[in-house]
Amino acid sequence: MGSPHKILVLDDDDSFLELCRELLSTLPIKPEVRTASSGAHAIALLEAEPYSLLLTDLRMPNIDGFQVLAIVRRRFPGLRTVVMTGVAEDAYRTRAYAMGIDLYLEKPKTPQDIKMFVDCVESLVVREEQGGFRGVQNKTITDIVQMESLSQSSVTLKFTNGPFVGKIWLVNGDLIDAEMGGLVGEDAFKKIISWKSGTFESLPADPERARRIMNSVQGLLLDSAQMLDEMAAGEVPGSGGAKAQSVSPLAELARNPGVEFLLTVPLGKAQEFQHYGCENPDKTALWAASTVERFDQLGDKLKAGTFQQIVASGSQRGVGLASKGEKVLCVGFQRGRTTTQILETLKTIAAQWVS
Amino acid sequence: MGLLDFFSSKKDAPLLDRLPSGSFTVDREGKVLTSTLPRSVPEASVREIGRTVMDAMSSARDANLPLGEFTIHYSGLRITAREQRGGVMIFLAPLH
Repeated sequence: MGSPHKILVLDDDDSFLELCRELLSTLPIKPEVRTASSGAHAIALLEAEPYSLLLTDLRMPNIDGFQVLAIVRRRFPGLRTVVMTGVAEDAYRTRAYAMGIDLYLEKPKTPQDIKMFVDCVESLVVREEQGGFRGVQNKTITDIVQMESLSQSSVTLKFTNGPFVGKIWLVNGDLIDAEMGGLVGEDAFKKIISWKSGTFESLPADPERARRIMNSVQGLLLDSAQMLDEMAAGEVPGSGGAKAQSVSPLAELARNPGVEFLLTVPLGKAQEFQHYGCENPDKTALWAASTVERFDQLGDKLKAGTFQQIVASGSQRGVGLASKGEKVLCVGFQRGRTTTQILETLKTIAAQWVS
Repeated sequence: MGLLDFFSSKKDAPLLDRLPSGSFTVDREGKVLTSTLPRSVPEASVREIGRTVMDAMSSARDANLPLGEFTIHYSGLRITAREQRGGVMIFLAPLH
C-alpha cells in the first residue's frame, strides 16, 4: 500500500523534479512523491488518484502553471496547491494567490531555503489531512455553524470551495436559509456542510431573507452527520475531498520506478482500455494494441518464436509493451531511463499484472 | 518435417529457414537501401520487417508518442530499429 500522503510535483526541469523527490521523501510523514514534466501529464495523474498537494512551476512549455492551476481549481477544488518558481515578480505572486493557491515559494537555493520549503510542504500536507477553512483553520463548517448558532448571531456565512459558493443565513442563532448553486434550503445546507475545506467569510445579516428552513440547527447537523457517514464510501460532488475516490488497480503497478503511465487494452477492442496517468489514453490504446498485433504477426511469419516485449524510447519518454492472452499492457516511462531499465521494470510490472 | 509443414496455417507467408543475423537500412518509403543480411533471407521478409517497424514508428507519432528506437523481443530473435535521417536502420540478432 502507498502512503496516505501523496504529493505531485510538476516542473519541466527533470533535475529539479529529482531534487524535490529526494527532499520530500525525507519528510517524517513519508509522502509518496510523484512527478510530472508536463501539465497534461499532471492533470492525467490527478484524475487517476487523489493527491494531498500539488507543487507546480509557473513557466513551462505548452500548458503553463497558471493554466494548470485554473484546471485544478475547477476540477479538484479541495487540492492544496503550492507554486514553486524562479519568478519573483509581485504580479505573478498576486495572480497566483488570486487563483486560490495556498503558498507561493521561490525555488530553494540555499540550505535555509530548502529547510523552509520542506517545512512548508509538510505543514500543508498535515493541514490537508486535518481539513478546515482558511481563516478558521482546523474548524469544520459544522463547528462554525454551531458557534454562530450558540452565540445567537445574526449573520450570513459565505463558504467558497473552488468554483462552488454556498451561503447560510442565520438570524438570532436560527438557521433561516441556505443556497448553493441551484439548491436552496435544507438541500443546499446539506451540500455545503459536506465540504471539508475552502474559504470562509462572515457577511452582514439579511433579516429580510425569507425562511426556507424550518428544522432546528442541531437537528439538521445531526441529519448531515449521518449523511456524511453514509457517503464516506463515495464522492460528493463539490466536496473537494477526494479521499473516497476509488483508486485504479493500475495505480499500484505505477509505483514501480520511473513509471509515467500505465494502460491495458484488449486486442481488437481498443476503446475498452483502462489507464493510469496517460495523457492521450484513446490514441495510446489504439497504438499499443495495433503495434503488438502487428509484431506478433511478424514474429509468426518469421518463425521468430513467441512475442515477448517491445521496448521503445524517444526524446520525451520510453514505452514498454507486453501482452498476455488477448490483453496488451503498455507502460510509459520517464525520459532518461535506459532500454535495460525499461525492459527490467516492464518485466516486473507484467509479472505483477498477470498475477 | 514435411508433415509438420503441411499442418502449418501460414503456408502463404515468406518463411525463414534460419533466423537471420545482420542489419539493413530502409528509406521513408520502406525501400531497402543497404543490407548485411545473408542472401538466403527472402527479400519479402526484409521488406516486411522494415514496413512493420516504419508503421509502428509513424503510428506512434500520430498517437503523440514520438519514439525513435524500438527493440522487439521474441523468444528466438531480437529486432532493434533506430530511426535515422531519411529512414530506419534495423538490426536482427538471433538469440540461439
